[in-house]
Amino acid sequence: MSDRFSDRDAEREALSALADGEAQSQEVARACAAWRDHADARANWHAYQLIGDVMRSEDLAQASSGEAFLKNFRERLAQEPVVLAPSAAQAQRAVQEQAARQQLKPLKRRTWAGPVGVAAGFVLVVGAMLSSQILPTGPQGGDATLAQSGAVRGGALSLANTGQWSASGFVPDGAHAATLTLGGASFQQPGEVVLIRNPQLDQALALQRANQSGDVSFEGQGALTRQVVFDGR
Amino acid sequence: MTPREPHDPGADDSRKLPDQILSAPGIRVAAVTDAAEHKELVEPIVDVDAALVERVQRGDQKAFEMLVVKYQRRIERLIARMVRDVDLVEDIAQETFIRAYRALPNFRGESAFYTWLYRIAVNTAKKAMIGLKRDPVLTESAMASADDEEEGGSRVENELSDGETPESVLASRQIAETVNAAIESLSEDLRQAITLREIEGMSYEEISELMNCPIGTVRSRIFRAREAIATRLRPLLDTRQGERW
Repeated sequence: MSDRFSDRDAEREALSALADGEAQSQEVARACAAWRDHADARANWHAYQLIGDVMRSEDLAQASSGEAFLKNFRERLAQEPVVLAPSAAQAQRAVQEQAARQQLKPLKRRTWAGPVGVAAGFVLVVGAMLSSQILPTGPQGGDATLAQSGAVRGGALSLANTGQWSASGFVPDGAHAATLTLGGASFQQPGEVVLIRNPQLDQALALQRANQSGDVSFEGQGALTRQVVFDGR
Repeated sequence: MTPREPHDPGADDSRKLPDQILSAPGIRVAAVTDAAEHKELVEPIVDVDAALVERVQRGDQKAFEMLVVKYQRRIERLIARMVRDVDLVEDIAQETFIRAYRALPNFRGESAFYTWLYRIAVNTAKKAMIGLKRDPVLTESAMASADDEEEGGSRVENELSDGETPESVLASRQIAETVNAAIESLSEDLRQAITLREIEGMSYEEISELMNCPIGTVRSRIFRAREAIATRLRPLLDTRQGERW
């Protein structure tokens, strides 16, 4: 080899580095161009690969002739369509990304569904509790008295700051004014009724807790129990 | 991957890489040395297979031929372990590369190109053998033994496989002997460089550390070793250089 490094030598050295996986992006492009245009570049690429393969394993020297294999392969490859044009590849990628985004969108919209569902369930439960307390029996004595009763209109429910349940707009028909007595104080609230838990319920709950601890029975608590008679017995 | 550092500090200062580039983490660079002018370029090293695949995916059909030439022998040997018929081996190898080419738009580089190609070759060979009503299970063990001796084992069988001729076996032996003789005749530096690269699989960076010389020198030594071997090999390659390529 002469001391002067020609362009061809530089090209072959780059091809050698390419065979080792140690080339730069520009060298890959140049090697591809050389592969297209120069038969000796193709022969060198084959020779370099063959040398490496034979050094690693002599079995690999037994493979069929490289150029004959490539010739046959080219004939078959010529019948194949070009894999993908750049624009087609980009367009396909864009379509795939769009489809992926479309699939994700409904999930994003549903992010609010969870909290709303919980809130709705909570409202339903509270409504059911209040309905079961108010509608069948109505206010029973105690500190809260409804001036009038009748069919109930629906309305929004909220928890009062006092810790007691209030029903805003939950007003019996015709009851534009309700008189309430809370803890000894009376309130006149036109168009609004504050529902108060039956004080007997607290008493009953206290007895139940005591009963669970095992030292109190319901005997003698006739005021809180109801006697039921079946068939006159 | 660590940035490369200058090797052999006192020997060749002109080939040192710039500190500002070397200090950038995760950047693998190469010193491309012109043997005459000692000119140096510093650019990131690319994954050559991935770069070639990308070119094919962009429509450069010729780039795929480079991959074919690179992996043809390994794929043929793999298939030969399964079918033991030289005529079929080449056909199945051709089919493997055609299938790989067709499937290339779907190749996302999650595995190495050769790993992906290997799977295609195994599946193609299995399918071919099912078509020939041969038992692919029997040949799986042969394939496993091929994997075991992937790193340089030598075939010791004396009998010819189907389709092999004494001439083809002799030609193969001549190629192997020529390569070995050419390596023996190399200078110590060149022989060590190409052996570390081809047999030990070391990178240029590792070889430069081991041989205590700049990466550009390693690159140049490996190239000169290859050229010396190729010069002795070309007469055996059944064609004048460039005649049919």
